[in-house]
Amino acid sequence: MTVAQPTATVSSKPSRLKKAWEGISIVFESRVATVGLIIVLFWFALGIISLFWTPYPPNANLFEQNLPPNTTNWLGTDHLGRDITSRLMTGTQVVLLKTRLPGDLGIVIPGGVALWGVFGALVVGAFLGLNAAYRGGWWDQSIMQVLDALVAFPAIVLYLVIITAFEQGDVVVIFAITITGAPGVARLVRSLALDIKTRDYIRAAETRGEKVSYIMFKEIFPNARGPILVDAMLRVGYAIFMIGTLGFLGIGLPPPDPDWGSMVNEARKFIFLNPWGVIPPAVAIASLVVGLNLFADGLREELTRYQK
Amino acid sequence: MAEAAMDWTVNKNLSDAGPVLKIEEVAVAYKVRHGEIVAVQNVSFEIKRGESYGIVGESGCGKSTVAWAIVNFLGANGYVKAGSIKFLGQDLVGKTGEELRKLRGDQIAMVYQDPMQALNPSMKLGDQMKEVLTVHRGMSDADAAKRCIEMLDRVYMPDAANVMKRYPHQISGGQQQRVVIAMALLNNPALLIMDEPTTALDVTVEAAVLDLIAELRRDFDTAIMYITHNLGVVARVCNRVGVMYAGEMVERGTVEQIFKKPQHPYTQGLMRCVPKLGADKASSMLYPIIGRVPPPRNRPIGCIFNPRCDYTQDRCIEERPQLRDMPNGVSVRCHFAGEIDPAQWTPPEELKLPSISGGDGDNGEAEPILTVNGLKKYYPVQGSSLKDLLGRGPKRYVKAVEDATFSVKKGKTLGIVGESGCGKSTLIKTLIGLEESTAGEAQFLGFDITGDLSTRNKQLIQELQMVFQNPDSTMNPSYSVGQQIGRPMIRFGTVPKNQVRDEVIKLLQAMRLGENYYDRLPRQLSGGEKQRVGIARALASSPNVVLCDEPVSALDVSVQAAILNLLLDVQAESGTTMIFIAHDLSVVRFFSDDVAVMYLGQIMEIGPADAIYAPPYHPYTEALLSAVPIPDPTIQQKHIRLEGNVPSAISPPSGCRFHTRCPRRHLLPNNGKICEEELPPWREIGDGHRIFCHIPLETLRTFDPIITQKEED
Amino acid sequence: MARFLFRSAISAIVTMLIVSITLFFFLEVGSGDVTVKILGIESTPEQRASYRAQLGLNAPAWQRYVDWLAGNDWRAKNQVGHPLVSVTNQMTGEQEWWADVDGTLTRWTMEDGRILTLQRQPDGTASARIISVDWNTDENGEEFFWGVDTKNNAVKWVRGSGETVWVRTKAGFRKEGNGPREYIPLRKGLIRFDAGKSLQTGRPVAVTLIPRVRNTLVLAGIAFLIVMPLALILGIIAGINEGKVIDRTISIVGLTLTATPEFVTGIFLILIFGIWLQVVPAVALFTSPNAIFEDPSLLILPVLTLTAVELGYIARMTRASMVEVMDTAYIRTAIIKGMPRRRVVLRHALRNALMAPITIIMLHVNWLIGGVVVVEAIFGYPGLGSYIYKAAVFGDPNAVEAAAMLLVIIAVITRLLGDLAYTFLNPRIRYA
Repeated sequence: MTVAQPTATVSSKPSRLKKAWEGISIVFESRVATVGLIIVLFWFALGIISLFWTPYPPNANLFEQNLPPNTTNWLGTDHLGRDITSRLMTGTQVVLLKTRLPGDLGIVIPGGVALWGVFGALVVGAFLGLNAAYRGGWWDQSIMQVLDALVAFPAIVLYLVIITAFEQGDVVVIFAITITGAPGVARLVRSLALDIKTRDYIRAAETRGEKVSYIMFKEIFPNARGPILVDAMLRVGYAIFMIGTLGFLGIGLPPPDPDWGSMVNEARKFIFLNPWGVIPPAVAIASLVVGLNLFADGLREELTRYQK
Repeated sequence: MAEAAMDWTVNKNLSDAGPVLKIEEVAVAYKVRHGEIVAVQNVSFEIKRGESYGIVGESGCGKSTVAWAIVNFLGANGYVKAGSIKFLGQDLVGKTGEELRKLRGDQIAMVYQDPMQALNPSMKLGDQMKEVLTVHRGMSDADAAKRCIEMLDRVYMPDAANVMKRYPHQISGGQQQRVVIAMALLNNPALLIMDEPTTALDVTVEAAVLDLIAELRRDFDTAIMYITHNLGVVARVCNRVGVMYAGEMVERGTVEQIFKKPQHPYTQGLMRCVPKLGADKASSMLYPIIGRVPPPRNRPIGCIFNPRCDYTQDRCIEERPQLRDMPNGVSVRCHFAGEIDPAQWTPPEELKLPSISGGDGDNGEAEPILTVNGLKKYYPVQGSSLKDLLGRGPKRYVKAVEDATFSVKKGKTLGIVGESGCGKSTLIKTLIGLEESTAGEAQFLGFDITGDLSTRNKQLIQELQMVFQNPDSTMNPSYSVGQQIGRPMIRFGTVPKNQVRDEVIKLLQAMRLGENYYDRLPRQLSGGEKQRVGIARALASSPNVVLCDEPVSALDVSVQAAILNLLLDVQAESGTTMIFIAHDLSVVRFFSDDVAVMYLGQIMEIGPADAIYAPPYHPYTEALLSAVPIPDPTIQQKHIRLEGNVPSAISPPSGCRFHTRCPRRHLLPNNGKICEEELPPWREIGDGHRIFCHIPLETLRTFDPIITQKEED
Repeated sequence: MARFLFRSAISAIVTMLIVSITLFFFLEVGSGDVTVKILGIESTPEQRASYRAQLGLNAPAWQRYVDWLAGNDWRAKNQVGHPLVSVTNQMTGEQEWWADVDGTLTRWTMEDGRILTLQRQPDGTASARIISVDWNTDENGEEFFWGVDTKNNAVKWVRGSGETVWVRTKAGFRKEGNGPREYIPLRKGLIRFDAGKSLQTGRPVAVTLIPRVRNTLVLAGIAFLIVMPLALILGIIAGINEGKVIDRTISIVGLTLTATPEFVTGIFLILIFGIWLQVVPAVALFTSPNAIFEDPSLLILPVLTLTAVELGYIARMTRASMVEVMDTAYIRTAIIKGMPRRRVVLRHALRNALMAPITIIMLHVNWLIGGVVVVEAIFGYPGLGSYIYKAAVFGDPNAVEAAAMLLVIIAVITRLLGDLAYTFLNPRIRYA
């Protein structure tokens, strides 16, 4: 996500580009963040390649079933004789690269389910958190009470209920990620905003008679960006974690596109025949989540050092 | 107690010979990612038993680093790069952690700036104190407790035995500092390091703690290393002093010599920056030091002070001077020490000084622009009992401002002084509309301003603007300087959009900041520069009245002088009316035409500045003035100390709010019973000077002035 | 402090209300036509409609929510005109509803358009009598009678014309005459500890739930007992050695464990211990709800999985808190006072460092519960988690609501405990 920034802002000013590069270069100050970034970029790259090329068609039953890794099928085949390597690569797409809109038209928008879900949680959470923190009083109490209730909900139960309430689909998963993520984002934004709100520049804006919305979104929000970015990174990791779990439980992203979680689930049933089948998708999920966590962790450490 | 008595003698015998602490050519460096930073270098001084040695300098000069080097607490990446630190003859550099640990807290003790931070919030004070004795001396718990209580009594802690059972948050800041000092003294250390121990405290509390330190030094015969930025404090508690600048010690000697005849240009500059108590803007000037302290990476090759010095010559740029002993016993790090006569100093060309249009003559004739009558601000508070929770308990309020009545004349400055929690900030927040007033009247140019900002129209908002205290939070870190100054112009539409940039640059220039500051971000600015931008932002909507909330209190003295000059300049040029809040009485006196003194939400005395600072005064004003540390060891200051703590504003004392602490109520019949029962009358002295006190004017007039010149020996 | 706890308690109650409404809403939206799921797709629309009426699903959603929460006997009482009581049938052990007609427990049934009165005998059986009942007349001139039927519903019969209804029995679906026109399935409501019946099984939810809750508590309890001390100790060790190898190792391993989904961890554990090393059975069959007590080795893999996931999280929390505390001014004071390092850590830092993790752990108990649900699903462990998973997928509102409320109550109670622990550790609140 940060890597996308410089290209987006090239047009405005050269100093912006430099600024963006400065922001990114602190990633490389930290070894942990660099390792994390490399893992994440690896999966992004694999996903992008899979849009154009995979060793075999991911959904075609071309081979013998439940093969261990061999020279034709680098990672073996699954219970229907499909090539695991191809399915693994394609599995990146729904998580990171594309979202299938509901309806028969088969419209696909860029940006994976995990990314849109976290984006939704950020928008809703930031809005609620800012209002709760800045307006305070009754606003704060009622918003926080509702969010507290949502937090008390075991997330998995909320997922289960939401997903069973609607038909399986990418958008439903995005909705579920938004609903379960928003309270956390709101709490974070609120705590950041409560601190920022005490700064004198907010008093200065108030004594200019600025509108509440201006103060919240123009004066407070930009100064909370750093921690929110780090948090968002962790949340993307957690969303991938969750998508995998839902897939594993058989209520995640709908077929036919391969999904890592359901790949693990299917391979598990044949674990005695081919123990190798569960490993690639399991490692994929774990490594991507770990990569995002490492990246976020390193970034946070560098940001605090930078601020000192 | 036999044990403890023995301890005292043991420590005493150890060191009758040499100095307690002897620091020679010490350099301290920090390892960072790319190389290392030398924070402190060439520092040498020594402290003898019973002596109090002051280390002064502005922030970033390495004062505290020296202290941390002595106790070898420089963090994971800091180390003593050169020199020796001899404590009672043994070199501390190179000692093992365990050897040092045994010295720390036993022979060397330390007291730091913020007592609340220094005490463990989840341990009882008694436990925190006792362990110093049980760990270092192996005392039994009961003996240790006994000795702790004695020590607490010694530092005049009321109800010492009870305090032992309390947690830090349950006692006041002044009391916390007493606990920390008592803890430091428990083992009767040979060396006591104090790092800005009173900076976080209010002036009357500070005075009491300084008295205590002076007294303890006499009684315990301890060597004290006293670090502070405040020249007044040094003058009060130290007998010798070292001045630090950018990691070096530039001058050292006895307090009398340094203050009487400072020889290093930096020391001279520092003295010129601080307003003397009683000095005002009409009769005196502040001369800031140009430039700023160079960061450790960019220190000049020659004399570190040369870029800012008024006497720089080629030699200063090329060659770093050594500390030289002068005939009067002072050592100075300057090539030309002894040749420079501060009396001959004239302000350099580039130092733009404010042009004050003679303060006298138009007094009283200007119209009041802002009138406040009986203004009150109460905050409701919720009690903690179940009854209160259900809304059944009696409604209670913090009475933050009570019956404020005053007026400000056009183009003049009203100063408001008082200790923290006296309601001065609430008062101006109410005026500017950040808070809604509870009762009373307030009018600005004939418009009612008792409501908060939502009740005011744009023009009214535009006419009242504010300058804030903390330079680090006054600017939004996300926007450039230009955007932030331009915003009020766009918001109020005072400047057409296409001219905003030009106007901002004009303002920047008026603030002595160049055009190149337009695109800078706040983190690229120094504290003083941020404060200038803050002022520019307040002025951008060309307001009639600017409210200044402690605009200089977070700044170093040399920067403080520059900002004060800038504000004076603004006022002289555009006739802006100001309300100026500060806790520093000298600054308020210097800057203001009229002064109001507040205590616990109540204005106690108000009038022309010169009248406030001379008798007759309110007993509280008198106590405040006698507490101010004055950077002049030759003067004699009246000694009045307030007892107890400031009462809670939720249930302020009946009658006169000051009666619980008033040192003068005994002058009234019945030991001032009336003070407890009735609100005092306003006693008019004339020229707008009013005192809120039961004591008759005739008696008040008999009080001596606070400051008298000491007789020369 | 009283205020603090009072607020926490109020907040807990409001929380549970909001949660139950949200759940109800989603299940309402989601379950679609639940009768299709119960009766199968081959059922006719007529059959479904009749069954819907019997389940009381024709009432508006808010009404059903209130019934579920607070019961509906007090509402039905007004219709029937007699107090309604619930008694236990000694033979089946189930709860039965009766109307209390002047001291006699009474039910009614309809035969050939006439009402038969059943009176409960002391031995629990009922005797049928034909006692004339008072028919009421509605605005359409129809005569009707409200009574309690033999299936624990308050029902409205219309005189002379018994409705045709489809009744579900063990044998199948049967058409019956003499049916009532309206149903109120009687229940006491959750606040009176009646969670209602499962739509799936038709049995009271509570009966199935109890052994499952016990199993879950055993699983979570063992994991908790292993995790807490281990995680806190590892976190503290990492925290006081900030930046050293041991810290880096604990941090990275902890992060990896936390970031790996439970099902991945579980699968790897099965692979390693079940298939390659063969020290535990790779597939655990929980033959009965009490299986874990008969063969505790069944617990090994679920507990290990749960431990692995939670260990990293708590250890990292503790580490962060410890690092922060070790950097504070009061720890500096303790060191400058010459306290030995051991004392600095144990006496000065520990208590303050534990404050943050304990509250955060307690706040995140639901997060941990999420782990339990998945672990139970992976291993087919007969606990609350797998129960709720199956019920949610089926769309059984009573079952999901009851199980979820239990989980929320656990979460809320632990949060309260967390608050208490925090108050205990933090004197600033205790003496505020």
